Amino acid sequence: MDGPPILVDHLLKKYGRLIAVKHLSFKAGEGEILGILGPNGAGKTTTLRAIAGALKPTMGRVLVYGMNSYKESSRVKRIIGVMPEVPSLFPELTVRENLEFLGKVYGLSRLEARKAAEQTIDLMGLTDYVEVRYGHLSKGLKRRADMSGALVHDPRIIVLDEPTAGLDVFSASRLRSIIRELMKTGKTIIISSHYIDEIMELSKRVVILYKGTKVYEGEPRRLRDILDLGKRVKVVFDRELDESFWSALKDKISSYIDDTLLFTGDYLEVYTKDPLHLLDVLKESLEGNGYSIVDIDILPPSWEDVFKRYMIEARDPTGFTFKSEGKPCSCGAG
Amino acid sequence: MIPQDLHSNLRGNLAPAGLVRLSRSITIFVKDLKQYYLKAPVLSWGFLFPIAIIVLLTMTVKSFGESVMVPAMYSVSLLFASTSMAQVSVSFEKMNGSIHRLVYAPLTGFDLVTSKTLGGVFYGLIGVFVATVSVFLFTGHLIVLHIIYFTVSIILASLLYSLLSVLIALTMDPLKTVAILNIARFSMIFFGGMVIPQVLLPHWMQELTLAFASLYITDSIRYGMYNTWETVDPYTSLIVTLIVTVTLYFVAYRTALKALTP
Repeated sequence: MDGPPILVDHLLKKYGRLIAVKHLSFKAGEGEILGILGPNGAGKTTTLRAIAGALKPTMGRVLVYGMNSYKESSRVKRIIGVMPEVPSLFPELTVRENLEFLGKVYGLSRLEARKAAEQTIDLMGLTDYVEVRYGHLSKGLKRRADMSGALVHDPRIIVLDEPTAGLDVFSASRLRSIIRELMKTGKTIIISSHYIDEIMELSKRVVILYKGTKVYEGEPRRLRDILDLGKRVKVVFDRELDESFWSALKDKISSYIDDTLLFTGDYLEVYTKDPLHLLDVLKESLEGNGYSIVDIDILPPSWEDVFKRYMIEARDPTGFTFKSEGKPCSCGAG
Repeated sequence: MIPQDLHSNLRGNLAPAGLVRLSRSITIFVKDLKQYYLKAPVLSWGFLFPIAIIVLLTMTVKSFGESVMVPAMYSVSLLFASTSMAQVSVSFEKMNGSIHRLVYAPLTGFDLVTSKTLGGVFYGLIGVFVATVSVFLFTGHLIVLHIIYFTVSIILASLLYSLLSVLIALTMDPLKTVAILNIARFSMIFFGGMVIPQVLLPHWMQELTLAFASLYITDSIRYGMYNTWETVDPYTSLIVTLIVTVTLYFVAYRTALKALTP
């Protein structure tokens, strides 16, 4: 098995006239956690399915340790564990039966499958639910069982498609903790999600897709640097500002503000590249009119804002895209 | 923690590929039995309905003769029992999405078709047992003059019917599967020489019966049991059944491949 864990090479997938993925290329190294990000219909699931050997590319190829993921899918699938986007274990079987079944389907002997199921159940904190039918589990537990299904044969590569979609904060947080634990095992993990913060927090590198095309590949923090949205400044006033005073104040501070996110009378949230001067002007004007500032927060831009801004840039008809490590180029698709 | 390097010990590395494939198919078959063998549609179409038909047919044995109606009982029993599993196992898994989990497992179209077909064959053999008990209870004896031929016919027939249902279940919308299967089943019963002997049908319809595999299956069973046949000689019947079975297997395999690799 030669080559990197994953090499996506000019992957093209068409469904009839619809092009789901356009000449996509990227790779993931040993033990790397790669995030795949993009809005609905960006081609994330298609890409993951191609990596997992469950999809025939229209053109291009995906190599997994040098093996063609489609042509040698039987071998490739044995070293990849997939957690699909939707709960998809067998509802009539218990958690244990499901995992033992999957273990055997992946080629483990009965004893190995039993042992692997037990170990995975422990790892995922499902011990209290082993004899519960999958169909009777809550959504959060179902997703944990789904992840167990991806791990039971001890794959080298783990593909997680929207692992926390639709989960409450506690279940999502639990699942993220488990993913962090998995990161320590040195496995290569590919994770796709709608939750930008989640991807940015978990991934060392991200690939952003838009309408089947790669629009960014690189470290998440580089994305912040490229866009240079400035700082997110949150200011809380002691009381609601008078409307005429706010109009005058707005004119005074407008040159320091790149984007106003929210103003509710006694709360202001803006993006600025010059937070210190903005706060100086604000403080001076407010105190001169009998107001005061009760709380200030200066934060980096939220990942959601970075992503939204980036997707706006990606839609730019001039074809502005970034290649690896975030250097702008006019490299077009892929 | 999860076991380290377990993948290096996978049986696939050690055992012949054919055995690994078969063992995976059997794993899925056993899982299907656990999940579906007591489901209402399986019991009603695969067990209760054939019993009702057998009871009805036993009443006609005296009019048409044992060698006409007993093979028909076996044939009906096999048809319903063998086609009852896939309509549930494939359709349920398509509806709840769990068949898509198998897409990511190292399975081929061969594995999937074999596993789903085994369920039908298993139920078919139960159907044969039910038919045997019924015949014995009603006639007080059981005649099987060519036991090997009879056994081969029964196994081929259960394979053919099971494959037919797997193919329909794989290709059709799950909500339409039972309806389509019933069209196939009842066409075979009425136009395939099962219930109404072919000689009693109008001439043009007698020609039509040749297009139904059930005609050959029923005649094969008839020969295996009573050393006689109605329409087609026993070896032609067996060869036609075999050809249809292999063709269905090939088509189902191609279909399953498509279902597994969108």
